[in-house]
Amino acid sequence: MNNALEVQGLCKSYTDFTLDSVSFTLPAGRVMGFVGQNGAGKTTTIRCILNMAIRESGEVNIFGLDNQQDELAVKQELAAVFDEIFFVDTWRLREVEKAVKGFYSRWNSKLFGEYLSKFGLPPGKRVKELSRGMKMKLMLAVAMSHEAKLLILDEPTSGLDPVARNELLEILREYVADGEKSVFFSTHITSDLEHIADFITLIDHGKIFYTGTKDGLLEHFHSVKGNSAGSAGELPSIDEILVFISKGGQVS
Amino acid sequence: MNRVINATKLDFYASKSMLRMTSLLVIIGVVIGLAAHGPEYMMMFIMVFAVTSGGSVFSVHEKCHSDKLYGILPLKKSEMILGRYLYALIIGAAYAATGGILGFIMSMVTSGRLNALPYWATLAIAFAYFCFAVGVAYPIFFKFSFTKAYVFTMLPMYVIAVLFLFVTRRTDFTSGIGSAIKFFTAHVYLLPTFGLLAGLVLLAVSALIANLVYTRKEI
Repeated sequence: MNNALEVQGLCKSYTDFTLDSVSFTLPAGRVMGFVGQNGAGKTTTIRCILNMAIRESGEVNIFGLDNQQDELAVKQELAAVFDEIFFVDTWRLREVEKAVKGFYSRWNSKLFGEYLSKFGLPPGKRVKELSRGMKMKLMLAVAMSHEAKLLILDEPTSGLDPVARNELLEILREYVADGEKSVFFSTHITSDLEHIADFITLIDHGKIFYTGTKDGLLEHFHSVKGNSAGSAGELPSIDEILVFISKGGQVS
Repeated sequence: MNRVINATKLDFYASKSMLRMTSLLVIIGVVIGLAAHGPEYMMMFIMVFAVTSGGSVFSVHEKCHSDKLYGILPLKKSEMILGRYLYALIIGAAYAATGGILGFIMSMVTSGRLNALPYWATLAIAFAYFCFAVGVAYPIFFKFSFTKAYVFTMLPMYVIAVLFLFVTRRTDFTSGIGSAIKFFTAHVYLLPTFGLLAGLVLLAVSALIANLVYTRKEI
């Protein structure tokens, strides 16, 4: 199976935080939830993947290409959505396209127009006039219009109301439906992942606690913990597992 | 090269509304020129304000978290820097052209008191000054945030401009330069070339420094 994203032995130190040999693999066409509490190292890992932070050691490969040496080729293949919008707030939505389309070899203006229409985003509206949910949809529209094969989302649902969160998850489901596109989804709102993620990677204090299939995690935790937190016979939630880990429990 | 041009376009899109506002500063330059009865003051001040316009793009990008946008675009940091300096150069050229045309018109209106040598000398110095000011400011903006660095980078430029105004009014500025004046009097056409070259050299040195600073910086 081809891998969309491979992170091996990734290390990065700051004065008060260390990312300690982070390793995981996301197969192509799948969705991985990257879960950890605030400050666990999710954003630092993503910044290293995007080459926004310079790694000290380890490897990051995206579709087999090194994210530093082949940065330009890699960035044609990926898109990222953050918890806050990064477009100039005075731009009208049609100007967003003008500003970014020149950078992408596979930019599809027709597709962008279709996404704006589908997501209910008026092209004449300014970025600053959009609600938080609409801003998220705009970033997704841009991400999907250059036909990115890997979508990286950093806490996209934080601050969204339940309706907007559900809409976002629906968009992601459609995005991966063709089986060729992959999503790496960082969040601390674990309920988002219950239905959409195929794989889960758990991170705490800069260390990976578990990486593998979601079902494997739930079953493994169920047998380790005896499901004392949940109802008898039912698999635990990812939230319960996260709390368990934060209290010093071991999963892997 | 295409990516550098796209980066320059992105800067113009980003600063479009800010450029509209800062271009109004040209009016202040004209008012100063009229008050001081000298088109050379107007041309200088227009170029001082051009620095403000050139720096405004950093403020827009900072306000709108554009570092994240640059983090995901297929664009090398060095290309982004080149794009930004190309943006500055275009702004400088546009303001210099505006200042030059307005200076020429004012010179005509004020009975042709500004002849070729001081006209081209002022324009050359004004453009070189713009490049110097941008050359100082940009690497600092790349290293630190615009908000933190703005006062420290712009204040000295305004002081230099005021000192220039003071010196040129209190002294016979043009005759004091001696042999250079004689040379350029005989070769007036060289003055804009000199200003342009000096400015380009300053910007090139600054771009190299900015590249060193920014490529080591985490976005």
